[in-house]
Amino acid sequence: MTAELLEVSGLRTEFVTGGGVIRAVDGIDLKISRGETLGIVGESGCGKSITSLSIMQLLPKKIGRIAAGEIRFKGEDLVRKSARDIRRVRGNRMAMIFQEPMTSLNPVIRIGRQVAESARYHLKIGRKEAELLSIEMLRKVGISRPEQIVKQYPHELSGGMRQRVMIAMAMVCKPELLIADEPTTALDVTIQAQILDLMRELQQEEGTAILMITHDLGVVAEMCDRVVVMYAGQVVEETDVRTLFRSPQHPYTQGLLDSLPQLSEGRERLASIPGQVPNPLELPPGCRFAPRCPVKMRQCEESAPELLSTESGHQCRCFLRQMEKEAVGS
Amino acid sequence: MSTLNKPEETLNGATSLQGSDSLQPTDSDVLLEIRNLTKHYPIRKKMFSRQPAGAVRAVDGVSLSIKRGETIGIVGESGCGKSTTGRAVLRLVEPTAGEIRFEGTDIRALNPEQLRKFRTNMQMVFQDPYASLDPRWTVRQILEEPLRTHETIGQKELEDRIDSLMETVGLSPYHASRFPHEFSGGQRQRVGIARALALNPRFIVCDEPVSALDVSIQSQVLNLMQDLQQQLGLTYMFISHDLSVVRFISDRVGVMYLGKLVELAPTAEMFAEPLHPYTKALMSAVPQPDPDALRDRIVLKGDVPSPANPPSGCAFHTRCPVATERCRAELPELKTYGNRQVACHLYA
Repeated sequence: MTAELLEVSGLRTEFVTGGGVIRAVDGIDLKISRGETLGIVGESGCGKSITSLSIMQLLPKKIGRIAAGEIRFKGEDLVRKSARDIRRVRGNRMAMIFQEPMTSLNPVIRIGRQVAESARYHLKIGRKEAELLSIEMLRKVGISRPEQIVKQYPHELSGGMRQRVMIAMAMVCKPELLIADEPTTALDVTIQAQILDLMRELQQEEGTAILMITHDLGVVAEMCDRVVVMYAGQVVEETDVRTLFRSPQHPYTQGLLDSLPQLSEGRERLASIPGQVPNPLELPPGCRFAPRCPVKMRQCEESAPELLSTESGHQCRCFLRQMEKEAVGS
Repeated sequence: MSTLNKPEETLNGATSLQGSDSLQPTDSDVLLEIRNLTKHYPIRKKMFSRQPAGAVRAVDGVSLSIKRGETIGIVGESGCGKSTTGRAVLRLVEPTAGEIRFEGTDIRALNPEQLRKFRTNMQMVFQDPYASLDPRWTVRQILEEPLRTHETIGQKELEDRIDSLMETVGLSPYHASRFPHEFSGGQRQRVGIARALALNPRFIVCDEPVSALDVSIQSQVLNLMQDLQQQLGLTYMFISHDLSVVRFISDRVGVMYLGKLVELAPTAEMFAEPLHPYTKALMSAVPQPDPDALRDRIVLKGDVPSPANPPSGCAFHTRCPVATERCRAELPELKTYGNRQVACHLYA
């Protein structure tokens, strides 16, 4: 068995639409070790959520499909598994929490039953035992009066409480991998702080690895060990969190960090990235970021750069960095 | 640009109204004076019952004055009443009580026809550029509507105005024949801004104008709004839950909690030294995009109480880390200390 808990290689996910086939995820490699937190950042439409749905095998059946690549979870390729085998893993060894805790809970089923559902299925426990387990889980995620909450319906809880319930649901089988897709985006900052604290605590207790998908660079800085930056379906940069914020290499990452209004700085003009994310049906022929890149060269519009890594494991998809490296090497 | 700078023409209605209604001389620096603004939504126990069983105190006695050309930021969490405050100022929701004076004109005293005319002065940019633009109208129709409603101008001039509006917000006039769905989120918000600018307003309420946008687009729109403010001398009320955005755009910041203003201060001072315990907790909760940032975070327990049944005394005492007996019993007033205001017994 390899040391990596999850190993995604060459993942390509496609959607069939009226306008043609969209490659939402185009050749992605990811690795997550046990107990580690990996962040995926990027803007709307960069493919970060589709990556997580592909890993969970939750793509919309009729229009979405994994066209190529492997998703190895504890050494076994999930892409080639039957739906039945996937169900043994999903919700059990890996679980997911979603952005909108209102729409991802069933409004007509009591909290207690929803929290224990996956435990009843995977751990084959009875109803009585399941109720005790959900009370214990709710207490663990910091819900007071769990004995009463298990009898309530989702609409009776606040947004922060609902997200705690989602976390309790995901953690009930003690998964080895937790995928969190924008878990705090719908929450207020003071509630976000509570939820992030809770996720960190649970991670330390259970040794769960977390794949954190977010657009919020503040959340990334606070939660993640390593970060993957995505743009238009591809990984453009990957490195440890400190290096990403101290010395970002890719012009997109640099632009993203510069355009953040900082809480700790005064008022001046914000840097911004001109233009917008390319239409996935009309991707530029060369580097996908070239049309918005402040330092683009002729080469960038003609051919697409590869994702290359340095000795320290810092990966970057940019011709400029490759040229610098070659210049140093010669 | 030239067509945008014609304030005399569109402000005629306002000046005539002002003469009739300004009872007291006003500070020439102050554009908008809000006193004790209140909006309560009645709760009815039974459907169709006339007797309200209580009230949701969405906005509960907010007072502030907004200076000409400044940006006042309003921050707070969901349900604190910041959006209702913005809407009540424009009378998009009818305030329950309070006084709103725009250059001396009492907005609450205007009849519907006067108010309609007066709205040329005060416009709004909404949060969701997907929901606030009619999907069946082209951008030209969207921008034409306010001009046709409030002004009598010929077709040629109308088209010139629309072209210049589009250019002002950084869109190509050639896009005017398109529908909203053909634009990205950032471009749609530009259309929303152009619509608000169509009648040369002096005051714009911006309700979470960049919250639905990605960071790289967000900064484009924030820069645009700041440029427009300088070019056109606009005054903004900028409502947002995002403290770093508010810090960037605002001259002064007001913090709201459960329908009340708990702190108001110049931006730099507010961020250098927040006074109210809620402001402190709010600021410490924002994740910093810096993995080495010092985090002495104040994590507040529990949720915001319901505005239908706010706690006694200081509304924040249920979550306040430094609450005392006095806070439970007595409501602290918003008091002035130098150039800032805070509503907390700690500073009394």
